Amino acid sequence: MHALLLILPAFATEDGESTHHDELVVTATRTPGRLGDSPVATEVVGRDALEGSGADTLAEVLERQPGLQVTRSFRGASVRMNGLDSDYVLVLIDGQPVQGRVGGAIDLSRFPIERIERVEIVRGAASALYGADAIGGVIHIITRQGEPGAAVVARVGAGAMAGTHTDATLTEFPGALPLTWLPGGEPNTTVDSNVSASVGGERWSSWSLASIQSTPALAKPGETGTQFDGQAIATASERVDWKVSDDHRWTGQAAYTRRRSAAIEETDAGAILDRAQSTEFIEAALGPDLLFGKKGRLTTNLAWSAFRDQTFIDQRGATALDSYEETWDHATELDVVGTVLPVDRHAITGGVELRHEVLRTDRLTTPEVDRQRASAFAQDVWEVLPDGGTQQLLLVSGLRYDRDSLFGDAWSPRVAVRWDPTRRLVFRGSVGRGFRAPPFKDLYLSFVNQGAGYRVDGNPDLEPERAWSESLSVGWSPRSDLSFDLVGQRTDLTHMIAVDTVALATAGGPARYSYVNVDEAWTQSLDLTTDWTVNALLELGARGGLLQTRDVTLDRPLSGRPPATAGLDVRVWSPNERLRADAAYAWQAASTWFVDENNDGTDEGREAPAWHTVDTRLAWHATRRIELHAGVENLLDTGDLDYAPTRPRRVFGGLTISAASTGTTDASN
Amino acid sequence: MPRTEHALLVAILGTACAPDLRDRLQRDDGHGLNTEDLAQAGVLDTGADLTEPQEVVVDAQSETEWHPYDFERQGLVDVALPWDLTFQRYRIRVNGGISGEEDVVAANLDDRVFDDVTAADVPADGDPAWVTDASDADGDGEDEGAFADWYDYDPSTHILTPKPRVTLVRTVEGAVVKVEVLDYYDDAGSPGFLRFRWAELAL
Repeated sequence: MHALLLILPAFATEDGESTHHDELVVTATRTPGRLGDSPVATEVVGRDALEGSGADTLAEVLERQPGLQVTRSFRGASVRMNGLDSDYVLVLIDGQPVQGRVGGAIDLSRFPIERIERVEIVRGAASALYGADAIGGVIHIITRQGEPGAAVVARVGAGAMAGTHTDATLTEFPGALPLTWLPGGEPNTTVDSNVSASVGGERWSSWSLASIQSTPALAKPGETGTQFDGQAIATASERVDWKVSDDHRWTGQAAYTRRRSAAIEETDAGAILDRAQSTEFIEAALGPDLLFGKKGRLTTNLAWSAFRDQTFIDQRGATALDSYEETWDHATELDVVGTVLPVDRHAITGGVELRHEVLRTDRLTTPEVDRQRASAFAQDVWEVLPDGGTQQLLLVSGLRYDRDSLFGDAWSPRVAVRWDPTRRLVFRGSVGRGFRAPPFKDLYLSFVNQGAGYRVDGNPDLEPERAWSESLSVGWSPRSDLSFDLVGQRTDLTHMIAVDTVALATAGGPARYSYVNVDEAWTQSLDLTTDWTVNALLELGARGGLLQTRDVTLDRPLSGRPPATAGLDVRVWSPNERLRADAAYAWQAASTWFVDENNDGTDEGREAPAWHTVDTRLAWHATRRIELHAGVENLLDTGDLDYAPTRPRRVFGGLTISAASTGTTDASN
Repeated sequence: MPRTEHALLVAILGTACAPDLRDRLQRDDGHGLNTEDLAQAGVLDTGADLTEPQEVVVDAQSETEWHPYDFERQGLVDVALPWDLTFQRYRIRVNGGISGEEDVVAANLDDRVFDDVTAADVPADGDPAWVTDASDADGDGEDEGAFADWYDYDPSTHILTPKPRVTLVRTVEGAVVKVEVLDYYDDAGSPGFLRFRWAELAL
């Protein structure tokens, strides 16, 4: 086997049938390569697993991945990676950074499962390839593309919340708010429906999707204020692939997503505030992909994305606390990435990125700010041992340089090694530097929270946060149907941006805060994952993880990180009855949260108990073109809205109908 | 991106995207539920019985404007007219000392019930003392005065709660009125709406 040649597969290979290890991944090296040969460990959630999960959005899928923790708030669902907040996790969609961080987090619930072909997860600092924010790791969404022939798949799904942390006070939602225009607008019901169409010929294909989802708001019984927004998300996306020749392909895509949400909040003075939020995301990208035989590959991508957020707070019975804020953020990025094989046993990938970003909002201290960033990177993958031996040794060395108009320079090196002493055993290790650019919000935004009584002002002198990240892993496959992966990882963060108290709250005015580069922290984790294909009808997956964190500045653990997690997935097929059953169990140890509850400037520790969840789903292929599914999410109805913010028990079901003019079309969930 | 291009882009997107939330959602609900009770402009009525308790709400939301109130005129007055108390947010000042040109003074009677306070409670021997507004003496950043600490502040909720207290005020004209601050919030929960009751004592 010659691993490096497989970095440059023909396009045809990418589109063809493959085993799990033959699956192509792109995140670890920024150029497609076989998963089984990846020099950096990559976890893949493929289309089949996405469909079987019963998840509606990416958030629920990531909840089941080892080392990931999905946290939910009124601004959506965000992910922690190895104990690091979502600020330190880079989310990509087809290679482009996802726009629209709110409070540092990308809302993962805005990505419907139907749009996703696979999700690649790479842990540890990847700033040597991707630059800013890739400290904890990278989550890379690869979108679906059309296939030859014509096929339409329509799915109608609905659910009903049947747990303890829902409440009838939600009927007090203002009538004009969004949940009423969807069938899911009724209290305690969810809707997840979509239509997708695939059309393609020999050299082109088109994939279209229209999707709506809605979720009711959740509240503690007896409380007026909601803890989660009720929300409705509508998505329309289109992807076109055009194969000009066997070594020349273009890809273009566009997507529009709108998330509307509503909440009711009550201030301590008794004011009732109706909060309405509208967030829009627009993405467009176009670029060619060129192959030069087995000698090289060149991918160019021009992408534009925009993010618009409106927040409107309307006080009931008065206007004193009314407020409206609008934020526009749009970015244009040009990426050119090439891979060459200049000499035997070396593959060099390099590229340049140019990015321009503009932010416009009334909350800025100036009406508009922009930033430019130019980046260059190079990475060498060296197959140290000659081809043909039983052992394999890969050495990866990379370096990236970013120059940003706001914060200056950042250098990000990384060294990684992969050693396969036998065909069934693989060791990997890496050391890398990462950084997180100070976001616009921390630099320039001025934010007043009337309800909670505080004000936050940006600090334009902030510097990037820095990190060193090390990881060691071992993968062992004693048999082809059984595998174990053990991954240890440590990240040390310095120059962390922390909230600085400028003035404590008084009767004369709210507390005032700003940001400074002072904090230090570290996290370290150990995760064990095993997959066992017992037979053709049964698959088992188990995972367990340990996590330690430290806020060095405050000399205590990071808030809300469970020190241990575990999970078990069971997948069962019954071909005769055309049934598929999926069940997932997840457990999370007790954790400590630090919250300044009495606003005296000192956080109080709150112990959140351990909790566990069980999700089940059953799918029945009534015919080749009709599938029915039903299930229960959070069967045990565990969690609470303060420290274990899961959704309450939800019973759901749905119908999928597919039609295809040629070939076959899989019914999806 | 050139500025004009950017402006054009935003304009196109602005028309293509979702409408402004305010257009669809804003309630036409004016001020608080007790808008009609807000203190009116004061008018001198020499025949009025000022010993009957009156309840007043002053819209003192402004961070910059002061709202002078005169007991004899039973309402808000222009600053050029004689006034007794003036209001801005949670601040209450008397027309005397560093706050005004007259000699209004006040004395606090803690833990007293409004209806029980009579002319017999007017201090004659300096206990409690009559005080007027003075510059910050204790270094807390707030000027001194009888109304400087009319509230308890809860830093965890940012809520101001009136102390159980009745304050006597000797007005510009020399009358003595009893004043009790009742609330800082209107019925809708908005801060800056000072609600108090007062009555002149029959000396």
